[in-house]
Amino acid sequence: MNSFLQALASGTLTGLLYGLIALSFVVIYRAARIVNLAQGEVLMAGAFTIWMMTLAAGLPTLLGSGLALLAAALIGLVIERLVFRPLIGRPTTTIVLASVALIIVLRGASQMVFGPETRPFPQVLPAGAFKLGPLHLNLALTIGAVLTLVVTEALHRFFMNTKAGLRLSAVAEDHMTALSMGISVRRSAAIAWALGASLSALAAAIYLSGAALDVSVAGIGLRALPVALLGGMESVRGATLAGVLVGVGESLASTYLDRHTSGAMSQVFPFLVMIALMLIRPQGLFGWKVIERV
Amino acid sequence: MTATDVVATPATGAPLLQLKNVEVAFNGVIQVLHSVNMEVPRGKIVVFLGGNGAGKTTTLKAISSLLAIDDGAVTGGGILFDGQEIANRDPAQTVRAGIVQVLEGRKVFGHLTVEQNLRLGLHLCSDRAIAERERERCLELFPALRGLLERQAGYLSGGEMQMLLVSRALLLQPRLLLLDEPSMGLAPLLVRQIFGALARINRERGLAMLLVEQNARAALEIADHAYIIENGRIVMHGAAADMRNNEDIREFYLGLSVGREKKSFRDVKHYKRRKRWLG
Ligand SMILES: Nc1ncnc2c1ncn2[C@@H]1O[C@H](COP(=O)(O)OP(=O)(O)OP(=O)(O)O)[C@@H](O)[C@H]1O
Ligand SMILES: [Mg+2]
Repeated sequence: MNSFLQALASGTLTGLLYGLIALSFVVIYRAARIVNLAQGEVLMAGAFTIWMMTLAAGLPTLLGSGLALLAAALIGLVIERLVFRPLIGRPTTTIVLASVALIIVLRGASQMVFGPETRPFPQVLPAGAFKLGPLHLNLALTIGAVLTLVVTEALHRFFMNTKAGLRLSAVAEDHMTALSMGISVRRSAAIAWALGASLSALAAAIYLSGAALDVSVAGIGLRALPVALLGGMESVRGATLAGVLVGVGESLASTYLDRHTSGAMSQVFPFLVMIALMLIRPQGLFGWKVIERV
Repeated sequence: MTATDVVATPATGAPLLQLKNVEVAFNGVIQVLHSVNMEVPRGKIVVFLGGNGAGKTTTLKAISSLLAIDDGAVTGGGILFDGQEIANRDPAQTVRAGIVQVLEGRKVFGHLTVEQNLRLGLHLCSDRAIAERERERCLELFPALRGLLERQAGYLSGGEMQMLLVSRALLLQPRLLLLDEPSMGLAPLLVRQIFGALARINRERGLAMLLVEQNARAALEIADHAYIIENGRIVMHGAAADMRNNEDIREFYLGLSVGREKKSFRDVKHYKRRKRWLG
């Protein structure tokens, strides 16, 4: 029983981290209609930025990390401007291939600048675990989980209630209609990229706090993609909720199935979810389905 | 005071909108409009008729600078709004200048609520008092919307959507409203309602309109002038009243024979649409 509860709890915490990364997919997808496969690499770039601002530059950890979130937004803007803006209106295949190219470029660039070695990542959030009843919870992940919930709610309100957010929602629905109302699609895409890259950097800070950093962290991007798909690429709250579902599923698989599958089950779980979903409900749990009207 | 309250008296007496020998091409090669000349006088309704693929939508998009997204551009001639050249601009600039287009095909933001759609119509308005007053004015014009504010716009009926679209456009406080087939697919009663509302807006606010329609008879009822386009060329224009009464024009240019116009037109249209999709 205890191991079951423990699996639920740690699954929820990891899941909320996935949810945060999925949010970065969602924010960019909504405005730019781009599934950026290189989102993990954007996260990695954010992680290196945090490292540079803190351990390398010697700034206090929280201040340095805060500045790094802003710098990450800038990286997002640059990627949008250089890679994706020229591709507005091009076929989806072209855009997907561009995001694959971006994976290679970002990994290559980091390898060149930072080398292949593993380096320590700053302790952005407090280390250690705490006891809650029968449960042992990771403190950094718990703080991260709370942050994720706050960010989710804030983003949801931003998109639904504020002028700037509604403009982004309009662009998410239809570029031509948004343009016809004097809404700038380019500016919306830029805002979305800045926001998406910043969210990735925040996720990096939670994920890596006090751990080690090298190019391989980018792999978490692909693990979070099925989460974004499950939630529905357009849904902010959906991304977070889907994160919890996948996190818990993965954690239960790891507790109960991994010993029979040589540890494979928890690894493949998100992707099994993804494949099943594509078959049953392509728009995800809360995504926008095409409203058919006669 | 807002732009919609005053019909600015022109210093020159020039028409509000003037198209002079406008040429439009897509991808730099496919020429779709050939030397189109057209005028929309201040405070008047001009109806713009023509068959499928004649170039009506293209003309409207040329005016509102919405061609670029489809790789189209005005390649010759000029478009003057209040005497200012406005061809090939940033569409946001055109909207701010006072030209607002209601696109064809009921383009509500379907996943947002009616209220959110209306608030997007007010996205350029920074004065809360004006925003609230304009919104109230629209709800008076279309009282049916009042009970639907929290409804998801994608699930409104066709007529309700059209009311929402006209309201959303009005909230942008245009001086010229471009409407692309607002009556498409609506039942006759709703068509009359929509046209009635447009006539009322025109009367009360002095708002000039350029109205693209297949529903020629209903449109000619409320219009002051009419233009007919065929294969990207204006083939006829004149006072709406003359067009209304001239049986030859109806037969020849509009393909209408009295009595079964709506049916035949829509059939042709849907057939062509389907062909376009398949091809
Ligand atoms: N993006 C495009 N690229 C190339 N040709 C185009 C494009 N858009 C429209 N056309 C062509 O321009 C011509 C005019 O099209 P337009 O949409 O303006 O016609 P319309 O009068 O609005 O017709 P409908 O009644 O069907 O709406 C058509 O022959 C069409 O095929
Ligand atoms: Mg058209």
